[in-house]
Amino acid sequence: MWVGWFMSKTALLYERKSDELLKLKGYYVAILDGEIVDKDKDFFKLLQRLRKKKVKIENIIIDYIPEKPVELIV
Amino acid sequence: MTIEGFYDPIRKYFYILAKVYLGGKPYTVNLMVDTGASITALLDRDALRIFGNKVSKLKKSKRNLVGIGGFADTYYVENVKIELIDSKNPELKHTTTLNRLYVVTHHKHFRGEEWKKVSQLPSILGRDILFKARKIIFDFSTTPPKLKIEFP
Repeated sequence: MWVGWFMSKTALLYERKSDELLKLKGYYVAILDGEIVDKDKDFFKLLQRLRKKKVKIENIIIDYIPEKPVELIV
Repeated sequence: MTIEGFYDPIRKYFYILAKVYLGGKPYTVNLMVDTGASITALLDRDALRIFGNKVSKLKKSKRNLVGIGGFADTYYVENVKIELIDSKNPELKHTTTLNRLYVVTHHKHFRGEEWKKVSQLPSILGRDILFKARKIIFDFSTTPPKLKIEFP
């Protein structure tokens, strides 16, 4: 799904509405078309719930919003 | 053709939106642009979302890939179509095919807080795709910064 002229809703969420993500530190968040549709502190519980809901898992991005990002050095 | 990525200000990563075709289905993924990575790979969150428990049934890679703390289970899928999608214009897509798309998981070796650290790592767009580009521009003169990848 795309909005405005033009930016994907996903890109919009990250670039322009990152404060929404920052409120969810420590959570795994399920993002569908740039909207946060579910969250959980446990990745596997979230994944299981999404599968039970029978949402189109192929369209959902699961991100983790770290309380303290790890430094990626390689 | 130029594909524009987007910037994640939380982690300071550049991403490219992509559809990865597996078993005929297109899976949405955010690929972090990583010029230091020789290969493109799906990491834990995407690997488990897409393959679930079947991930260990994929072909095991003999290639020596270093994962986090040296512990990674590495698999691959052959002949995978990937569409890189422009973040501003969805009609703009660059399609490429990888002989091997790697799938790297750590979940068997880490638990609790360690797993949380490991699972922060996003799937990566590596040099096997990036070196097909004619030009890659990281532009820090704008806010947010921009990434543009020009393919022939």
